[in-house]
Amino acid sequence: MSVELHEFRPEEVMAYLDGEIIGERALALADHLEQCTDCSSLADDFCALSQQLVGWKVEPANLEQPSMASMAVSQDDEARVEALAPKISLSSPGTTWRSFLQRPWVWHLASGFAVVLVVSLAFISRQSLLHVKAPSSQTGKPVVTVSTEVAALSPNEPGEHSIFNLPVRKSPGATNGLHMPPGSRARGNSVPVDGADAVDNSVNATRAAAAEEMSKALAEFQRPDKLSEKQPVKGKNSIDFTLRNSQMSRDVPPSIWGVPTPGPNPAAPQMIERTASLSLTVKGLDSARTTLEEIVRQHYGYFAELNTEGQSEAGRTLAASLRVPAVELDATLAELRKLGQPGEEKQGGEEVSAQYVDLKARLDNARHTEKRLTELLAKRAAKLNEVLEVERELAGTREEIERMEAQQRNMEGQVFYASIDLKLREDYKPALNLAPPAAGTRMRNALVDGYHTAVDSALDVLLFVLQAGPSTLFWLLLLFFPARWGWRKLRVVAAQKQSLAGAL
Amino acid sequence: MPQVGPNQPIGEPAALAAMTDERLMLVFRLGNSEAFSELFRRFSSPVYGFFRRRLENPSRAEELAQETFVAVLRGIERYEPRATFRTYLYGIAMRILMAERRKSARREPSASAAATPDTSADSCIDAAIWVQRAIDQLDADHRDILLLREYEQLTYDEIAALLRLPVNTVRSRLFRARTALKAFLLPLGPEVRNEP
Repeated sequence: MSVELHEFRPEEVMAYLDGEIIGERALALADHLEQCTDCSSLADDFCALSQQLVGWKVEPANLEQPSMASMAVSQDDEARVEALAPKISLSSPGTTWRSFLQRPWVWHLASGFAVVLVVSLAFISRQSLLHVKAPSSQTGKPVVTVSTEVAALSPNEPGEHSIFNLPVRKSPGATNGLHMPPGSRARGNSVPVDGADAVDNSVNATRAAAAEEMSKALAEFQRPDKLSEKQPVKGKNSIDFTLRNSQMSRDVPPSIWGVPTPGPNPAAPQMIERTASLSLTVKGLDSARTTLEEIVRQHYGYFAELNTEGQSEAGRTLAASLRVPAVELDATLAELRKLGQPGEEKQGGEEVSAQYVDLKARLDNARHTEKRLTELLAKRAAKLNEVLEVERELAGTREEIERMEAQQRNMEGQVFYASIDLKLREDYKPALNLAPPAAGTRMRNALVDGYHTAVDSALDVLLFVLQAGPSTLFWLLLLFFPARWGWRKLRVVAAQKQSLAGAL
Repeated sequence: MPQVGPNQPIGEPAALAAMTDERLMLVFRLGNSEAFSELFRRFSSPVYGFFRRRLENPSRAEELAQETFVAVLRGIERYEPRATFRTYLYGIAMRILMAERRKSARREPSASAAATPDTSADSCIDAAIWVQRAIDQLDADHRDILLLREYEQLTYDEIAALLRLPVNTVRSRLFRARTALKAFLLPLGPEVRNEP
């Protein structure tokens, strides 16, 4: 029988015969059975089936009516029934915790809560893990977990630097404020390096030597006033930078570090690349630019980039990227703030100590290899092909040395000079426009604005769906089955009450 | 809930026979043992039939039916008419049956086979065997629902409450059970009919 062609499903026909459908629906179904031969045949089949089932009869019961007295006599049955009675009782005046636990919905609910709890805990722990590991991912060193910026700005007790204001336990592997994970071996100068770097003992030794040089350099740390005395104004700041870099020879580390940190282990100072950004609103951009150039010159800095923009309906702006010696950063910022009304200001620092020590160690190792190859070329190589082989190897080593030296100079420059991103915005004083734009122009502008708004709103909706869709879908899937179970439970209870009301 | 007071003439047999099952339970709870006798009279055979159709051993079926009424007696203090008495009674019977099946499964796997038809009723034995074999071929879930509907005459709501299933599930399973049973009975029918 095709279900689509009938107003009533076969299940409804069956339910009608069982007396489960009442009211107008039952009347309609009765009419339908008189007219539809298929449904009528189905109903006949069900009736015939019930008649066949009646054929299975059982012998009459020979039961004795139990009484309270018989219950008292039969201890065996009593124990069994006692065990059964609480379970099979549909209700009890005082619901005990045991009967409460025996209800399936309690366990369903508890399971749901447990799932939600586990998911929440996993989510929270994952977020916490990511939050703590964020600094290490920035520096590319997975073992460094202490933000040197914080350590430098707020030195605590030895070995107790804080990470984002959270107390850090001092572990055996923690040296110089750098927290090493359990199981990692403190190598050389105790500065952690990449676990992927398979360094040999000679590299460790050179790392130790590099750290020693850094400590000597730290001892020769010069104050800003000394710097002013030793290095007079050159007139052109770019020349100044070149001279400074030339002072940083390949064997002599820079004498001025970004920020000296009174850490617990002065043998391994920290190198920090400092950055700052500042936005100001000034009254006159021309006078502010003149003052800005003077400030940069006084603090031995230079303009890495400078752009000015002027718009018809807004004030002019100046965006500049300044480089000043790290030791001059605070003083420079203080003077820059006086240029106008300060707006947004940010400061940051990234530690490159580990990278620098690692680079220095690899550089020394490469130089050692170069030296040995040179000796080999001079003393041992006799055949032409051997000479050529050594020459090739030597050329490769020298190329690598030059690349690392450039990298080292760049890193030293980054540490020595702090970057300041400065934005100056002139106070805008709009002029009175007595001739308003034409109506056509305004309508066209409104149309264009409306189009952009429509596109933006559609894009926002799409982004919202993409952002919230997966999590919404996840929670719907998680809560669907408990909700469906609860709904069915409510319907069963309602049906029970209805049938009970009918019975009473 | 009906209010049954001690002043009402509830002790007379005629009055008891006219009462609903739930009211009888409340009267019995108030201390009238005749109410329980009335309930026993109404349900002793159906409860025995319930066990008899599901168990092979008739004496064991009697014992379990007896246990069911004993359990009703024991639980009378906690009884509240939240559901119909039939649902309550067959709920007890179902749990006792499950316990019996678990015990039988531990003792011997084949002990929980369905009942053999009453041999005393010779005229009905072929039809009974025929029906019983067809019912045995049904899935356990479908079989329970079919038996509760056809022999215990429970409504869909009562079956749903007893088995803790949604009413629609009960209805669809019952439909499938009947459809399957019809298919099982068709090939057996002619053979059985031709035997005598």
